[in-house]
Amino acid sequence: MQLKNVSLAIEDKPVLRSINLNWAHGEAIALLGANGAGKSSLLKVMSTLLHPSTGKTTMPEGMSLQKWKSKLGVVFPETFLYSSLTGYENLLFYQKLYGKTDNEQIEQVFNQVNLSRVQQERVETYSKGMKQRLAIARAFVHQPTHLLLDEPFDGLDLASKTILERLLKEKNKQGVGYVLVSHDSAHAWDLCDRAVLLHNGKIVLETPCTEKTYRSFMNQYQGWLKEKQHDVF
Amino acid sequence: MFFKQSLLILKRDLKIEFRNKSLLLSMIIFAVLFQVFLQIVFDANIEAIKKIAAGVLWIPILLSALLGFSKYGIAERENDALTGLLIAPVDRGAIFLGKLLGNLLFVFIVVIISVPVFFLFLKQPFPESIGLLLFTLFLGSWGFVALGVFFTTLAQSSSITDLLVPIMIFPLAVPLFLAISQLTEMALYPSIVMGQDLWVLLLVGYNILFTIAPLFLFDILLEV
Repeated sequence: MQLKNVSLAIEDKPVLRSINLNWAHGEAIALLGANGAGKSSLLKVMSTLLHPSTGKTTMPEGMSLQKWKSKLGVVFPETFLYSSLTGYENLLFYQKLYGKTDNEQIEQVFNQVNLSRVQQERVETYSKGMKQRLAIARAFVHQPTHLLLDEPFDGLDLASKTILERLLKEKNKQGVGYVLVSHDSAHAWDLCDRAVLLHNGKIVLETPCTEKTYRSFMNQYQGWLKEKQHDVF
Repeated sequence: MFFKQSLLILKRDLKIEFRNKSLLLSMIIFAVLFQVFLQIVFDANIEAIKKIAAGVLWIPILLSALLGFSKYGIAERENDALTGLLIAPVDRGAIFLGKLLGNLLFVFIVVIISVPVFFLFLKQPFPESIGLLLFTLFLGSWGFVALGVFFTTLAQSSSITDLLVPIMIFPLAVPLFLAISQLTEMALYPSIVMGQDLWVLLLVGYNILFTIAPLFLFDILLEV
């Protein structure tokens, strides 16, 4: 996917400014920045949920909008789950919504997120962490090739975090690309090929995620964070 | 694919509503109690009631439908599930159609229970033109539900609050109210003939407009 000079204003307030970003097939990008930097808004633009005020988004390989949506898996802070339905019914609904019916795939994602035991129980009986894991399973159930992950580790315990990390690495090896928004830059660094730092809606730094680049990135990142704190207080 | 997606949304909504049971039951009880309440308020003889019979028949159904609009599909608001639908490769017209059919089913169940109660409590004679009455009940309910679902779904995906939905619905429903009240009166008392074809045409036209237009407009209007 390619974003060219994308800007977004919500109620006349600029949220994204002249964003240029290429997301190559299978690439894992870490999207970092302080609160309010525009990370979630950028993901919403990439998911086509928000339309840029100016600039252009181009789908990969000339995909149509519907095709792009069918290839996209999304984990946003809201789970998109139906509390009155069971975990299994939720996944079946979302899978069918994407035009697929594959019970084996549903079983597989339940196993991957370690929820097989409770798949026939209503979501309203799940704990917060279980709901988050089910939301992750929902994003994977139609076998997407691109993932948009907005703080997917939030609410997960250590064991579940490890499961998700392993899952993401495994998917990435299979050619699934993702854009990961995380507050934990060290964590994101470990999971991604490239890091993009956003500040006030602008991309201020782009660098490959290697051990060498981490220290210099962190220095700059902390500088931006200090500036942000200065702005707030 | 379009109809498959509509049916999928319909089945999901019905599963949730029948599992929770509360909405349909509330709608039926509300309509029946309102019917009884109107009987008490307008305690009059059969002749006098003729002038207000159409209103007495329809008001409980329409208010009960309004109750349904605000509560049906409420599960979608719980975890921002509507966004989950909007991100998926779903035709937004299919979302409208699925919700329309679900609401319509509930309103038809209310009609099936509420209309016999009307005849029973107001001691009205069996309608002479039963075909016209059924036709009016079917299309009248359909038109009002189409209008209601359109605005309720729009409100859910925007900053419009639920409280504003009835305010937006009622002015637009005036042509529908006129058509259904006239046609119901003609069905109940066939001696009253006041340009039946014109009202039928208005009712059919209204239904076409508020069923077809949202199918195409939803893609534009549901932009977040």
